[in-house]
Amino acid sequence: MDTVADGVILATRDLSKRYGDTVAVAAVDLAIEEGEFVTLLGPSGCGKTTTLRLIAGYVEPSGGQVLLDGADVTHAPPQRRNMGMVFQSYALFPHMTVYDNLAFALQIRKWPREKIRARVREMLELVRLPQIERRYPSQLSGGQQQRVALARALIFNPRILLMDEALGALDVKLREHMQTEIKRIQQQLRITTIHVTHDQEEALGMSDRVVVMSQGRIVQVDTPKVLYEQPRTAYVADFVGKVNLFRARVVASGAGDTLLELTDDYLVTDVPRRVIAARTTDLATGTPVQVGVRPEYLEIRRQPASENCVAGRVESVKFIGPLQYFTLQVADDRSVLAIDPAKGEAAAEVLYACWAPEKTLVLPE
Amino acid sequence: MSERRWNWLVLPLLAAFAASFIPALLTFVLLSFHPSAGVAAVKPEWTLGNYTRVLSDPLYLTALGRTLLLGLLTVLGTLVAGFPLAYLIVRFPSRFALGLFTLLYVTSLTSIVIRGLGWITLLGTNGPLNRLLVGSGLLASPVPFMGNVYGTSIAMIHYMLPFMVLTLIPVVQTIDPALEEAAAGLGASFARTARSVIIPLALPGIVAGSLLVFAMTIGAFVIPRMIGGTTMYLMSLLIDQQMLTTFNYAIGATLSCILLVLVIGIVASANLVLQHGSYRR
Repeated sequence: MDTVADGVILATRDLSKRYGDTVAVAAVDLAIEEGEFVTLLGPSGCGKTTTLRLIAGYVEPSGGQVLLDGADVTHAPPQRRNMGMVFQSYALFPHMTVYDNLAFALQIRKWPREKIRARVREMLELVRLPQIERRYPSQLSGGQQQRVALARALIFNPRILLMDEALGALDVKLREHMQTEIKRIQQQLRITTIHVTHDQEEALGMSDRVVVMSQGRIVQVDTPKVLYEQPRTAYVADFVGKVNLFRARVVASGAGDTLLELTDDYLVTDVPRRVIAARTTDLATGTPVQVGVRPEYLEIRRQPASENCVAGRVESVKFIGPLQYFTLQVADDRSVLAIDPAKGEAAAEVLYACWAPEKTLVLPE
Repeated sequence: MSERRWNWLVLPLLAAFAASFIPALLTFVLLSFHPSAGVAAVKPEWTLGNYTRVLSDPLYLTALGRTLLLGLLTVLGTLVAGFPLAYLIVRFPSRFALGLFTLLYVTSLTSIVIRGLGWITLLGTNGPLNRLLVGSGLLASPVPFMGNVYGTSIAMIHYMLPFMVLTLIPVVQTIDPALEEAAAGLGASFARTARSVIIPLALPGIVAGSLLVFAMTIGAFVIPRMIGGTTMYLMSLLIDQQMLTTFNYAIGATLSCILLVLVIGIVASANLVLQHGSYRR
């Protein structure tokens, strides 16, 4: 067994979990570095929570390994993995005070009473809840409970922090506030963190890297910026941000750009089907692909350009202050969303949406 | 439906209860305060003599002590055997656990006399239990289980187990498994988790089950008679003797009242303890 690379705190190798015939997680390879904030992102049922629980030790894998600091912990019980976990329901012990909840992990480790007291105070300061030691969880608000759960997970200096949709139960404003708070604490402590969520804004806003998952497998692992600008599949393009997708064929592929042709039938036929993508794709002529364009890169015009345009009947125009959301019906069953600052176009019947070659995404079929 | 309408609905039930139960209760409470007038009769004058006689007679006092001991042993036994059982059934609802539960339930439907006979066979000096204990080297010579409170408690534990388990199951179900996972993640062994999380949260069920088993045990009759024989005196057996053999209604009623006060006292104090700690939930 070869060792993990330097700086990698947690690695998984070909991790998988099957329940009978159902595959919950398959072929998951991760390498998470010291101090990183990594998010597992995907819709319900994509395997992100199962992966987290495999890492934490609450689920036995069907195959593969989990390595912590190079050591194989695949079959070690959660007690011995030295990982702090925040559950979606917080799982604060209802029959214990905040103090006892926090002190629990330290009492197990047989810390002397004075050190425990000092450390509990320290953690409450860290999460900005200094006076609530004697209260019971039922007497705390959702946000307070969450911060206590976070403090409890961090109090014994775990190697990694795991969070299972920990912000799921909070309302929007509180959620955003806690995202900032958690990020602040994470950076202050420089603790490696693995976060699970289905909220792509949350993932993009907090993470150093995001692991996009679907149906038990990893689809793409990249920084938020790269994920947004260079999604590898239509799924990623659509999950991380919004995207308009058009079926197309590769016409020619050269150094620096690729020429494609849209292949679907559209309502408005006087639009050129040429598409130029300002990126090298190395795909053979005739390869079917999907062309993706994000709504904010579509420019609304009254006349088509020579390439990179689609046209449609105006379905609706939503005015959102500085921007407008144009929905254009391009085919019987397809609409395109364009976000454009253009004003005064609402009267038109047919509009053209065009984009720059640099913004063309070429995605597999 | 508003609160007030609910109150009216309960009235018929309360009336039936009052009509049947209260007079019976009152009868023997009153009987205990009159001296005996021979067979199945009491004299009209009031007295505390029955109580002074019972509470100073070593025969009755040992019977009382033995009754409480039987209750205690049975409660402890059903807790030790029942709690892990309830926990397994709730946390691992596989076919195995379901089978276990069904087994338990079906046993509880069997006639108590038949079960008593089974225990008589098992608990004899040369019975399977003793032979196992002596044969495996755990004991030097066979232990007498029949005719005393220890053998009786074994059979009582068997009888009471379903009650304890059925009381504990709903309570264990209310314990969020995430709490146990959280404790494990914080470093707690299973024993520590049980001690610090599971048992404290299951306490209302433990107390409820214990009270149920205790109250039923100290009033139990069939098993103590079958296993304990005619020489092991318990309150229930003495009451039966006084009421149906000696026809000393005065003493019989006195013993009954003492038993009643005992049960009420224990239930009331347990509830007080429970309420004191329950605001935390």
